Amino acid sequence: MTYNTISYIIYAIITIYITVVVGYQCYKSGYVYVLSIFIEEEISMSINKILLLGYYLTNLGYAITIINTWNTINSITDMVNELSLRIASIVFILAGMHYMNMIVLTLWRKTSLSKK
Amino acid sequence: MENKLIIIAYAIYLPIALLLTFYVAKTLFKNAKVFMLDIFHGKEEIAFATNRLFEIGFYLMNLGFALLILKIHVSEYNPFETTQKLIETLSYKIGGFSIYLGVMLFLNLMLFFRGRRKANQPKPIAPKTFVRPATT
Repeated sequence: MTYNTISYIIYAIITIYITVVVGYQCYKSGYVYVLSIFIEEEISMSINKILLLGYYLTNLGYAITIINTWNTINSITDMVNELSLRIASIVFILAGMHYMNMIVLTLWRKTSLSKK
Repeated sequence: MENKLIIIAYAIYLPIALLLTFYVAKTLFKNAKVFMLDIFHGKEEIAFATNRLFEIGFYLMNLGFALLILKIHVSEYNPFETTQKLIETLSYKIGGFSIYLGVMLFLNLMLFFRGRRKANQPKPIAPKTFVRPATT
């Protein structure tokens, strides 16, 4: 049981938890926005679900794939360092995509509201 | 375990940074609900949804930043060996993170004010189609 293995497990648990929780919250809160663009309930729900699925696929996939590029870890200090850098990079990617999505959805909503 | 002090430093820094983030985020977005209700003119669902989305973004940014600045760089010129160095480094990191949180808070507050101002502006009523006056 090397240090690397332990870190992979901790990293996987934390990253998967953050991704799933953030995704679900955005799914619940973002429904209103999608609804205001596509108006019909059924279409909005399906689009929202598809968005959630795509989000899980890309983010979980990226978080798991990147484990391939980790350096070897030699001590607990190194483990904490490497873990925090990796989790921070995943979280920042999530944050960047989150804000981009909000901007796109808000612009879309504005144009769709102003067309009426 | 070659350097106990670093692990102690991490064990102090992480909980403080995370608790601080949690507390600031909760307070900011509990009180921001009023702003959101005002911006969206009383429509609860979209106001709370927007609040939630901003809160998520805030949590993500701060968690990422707290983890990013965690690493303590140790070298020959900078051995991490005394308690004094521990206190100095901790105060540098925790203080810096605190300032960053303050800046983020003010940024968010500015966004709320801007949103409120824009929402309270009277919307210009423009004709959708331009009707050419008949010239007879």
